[in-house]
Amino acid sequence: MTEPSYDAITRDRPARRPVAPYIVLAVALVVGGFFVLLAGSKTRVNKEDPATPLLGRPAPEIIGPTLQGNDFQLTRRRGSWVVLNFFQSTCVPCVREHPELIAFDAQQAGLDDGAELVSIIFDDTAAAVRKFFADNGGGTWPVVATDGAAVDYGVSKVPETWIIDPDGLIQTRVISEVSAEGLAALVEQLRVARSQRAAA
Amino acid sequence: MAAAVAALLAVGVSRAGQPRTADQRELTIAKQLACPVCDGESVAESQAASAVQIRGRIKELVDAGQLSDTEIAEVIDAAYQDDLALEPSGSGIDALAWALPAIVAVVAAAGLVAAFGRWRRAAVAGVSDADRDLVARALAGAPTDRSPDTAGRSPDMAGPSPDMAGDRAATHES
Repeated sequence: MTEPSYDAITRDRPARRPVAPYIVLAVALVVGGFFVLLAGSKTRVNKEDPATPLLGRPAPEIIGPTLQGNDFQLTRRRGSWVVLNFFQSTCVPCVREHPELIAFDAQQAGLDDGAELVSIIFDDTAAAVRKFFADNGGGTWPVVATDGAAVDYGVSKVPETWIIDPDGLIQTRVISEVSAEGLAALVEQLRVARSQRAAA
Repeated sequence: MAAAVAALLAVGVSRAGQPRTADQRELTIAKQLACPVCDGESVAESQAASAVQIRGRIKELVDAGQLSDTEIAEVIDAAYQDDLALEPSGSGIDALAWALPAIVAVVAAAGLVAAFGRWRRAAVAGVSDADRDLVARALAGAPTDRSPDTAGRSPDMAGPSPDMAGDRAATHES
C-alpha cells in the first residue's frame, strides 16, 4: 500500500481565502475612525485664545452683592453697553491694568451712552478686594462678589474683559490686560457696527 | 459559575439603582470634567482657583436639583472654549470612541470563529483513508509498509535509531 502524496491530501481541501487584506482593512477602519474622532473633537487650544462659545449669545446672568452693599443683577442693565472685568486683587496684571480701568470709566462717564463698567471678583476675599481699591483707587462702579459667574463665562484666568451690548448679547472677550484707549475704541467700534446693522 | 455571575450582576444592578447623596453626585460630575488650567487633572483633583469655582458651581446645580449629572457637566462644559469633558459623549462623532472598540471586538471574535472553523475543517479533510488504515494497522500490531526498517516488530519493540544507541553508549562510558 502506498502512502498518498501531499498533493493528493491537500487537493481536496477547500481553497484558503486570504485573511491579511481583511485584517488590514479592519485596522485601517479603526485608525481612520479614531483620526476622524480626534479631528472632529474640540481640542485644547491656546489658553490666550479669546474665542468663546458664548460669543453672540445672551450673557449668562450675574447676581450677587456688591462691595458697596447693593444687589447686582446683570439683566437689569439691559439697554446699556456693559463691560465686565474679571479680576483678583493679588494678580499682577490686574494691578497693572487697574489705572486703565479707572481712566476708561471716567471717559465713558462723559458720554451720553457710555458703557457701564462692572468688576467681578475672581477667587478672592472681600477684605482683600476692599484693600485693593483703597490702595489703588477706583471702585466707584459695581464690584460684584459671585462665585458662579467665572464658571458660567468660562473664565479660568484673570484679568478678562467682556463687552455686552444693550440687548444683553456677548460681543467681545478680551484676555489679559486692556488699555483705556483700546477698550474705549473697541466699545465704539462695536457701537458703530450695531448702529449700522440696525440701519441696514 | 453562571449562578455566581448572575448574583454579582444582581448585586451590581441593585447597588447602581440606589439613590446617591449630593456629595457623591458632585464628585462624580467633578471627575468627568478636566481642570481648565491644569494638564492631566480633573476638577475633582485640582486645587486651581478655576477648578475650585467649578466645584462650587457643581454644588449649586446639584443642590438646585433640576439637572441630571450629565446635564450639569454639559452646562459647565458649554461655557469653556476648551473641551472639558474627560469622557466622550455617547452621541455624535464622539460616539465613535465607544463604538469602535466594540466593533473591533465583534469583528475580532467573528474572525477567530471563522479561522477556528476553517482549521477544523482542514484538519478533518487532511486525514485520508490511507492514514486511517495506517493507524489501524499500527494499533493492531500488524506490520506497516511505512517503516520497512522495523517490519515484523510491534511499535513497542521499535528500538532507538543506531545514532541514538551510539549516543547512549557514549553516555554510559563517560
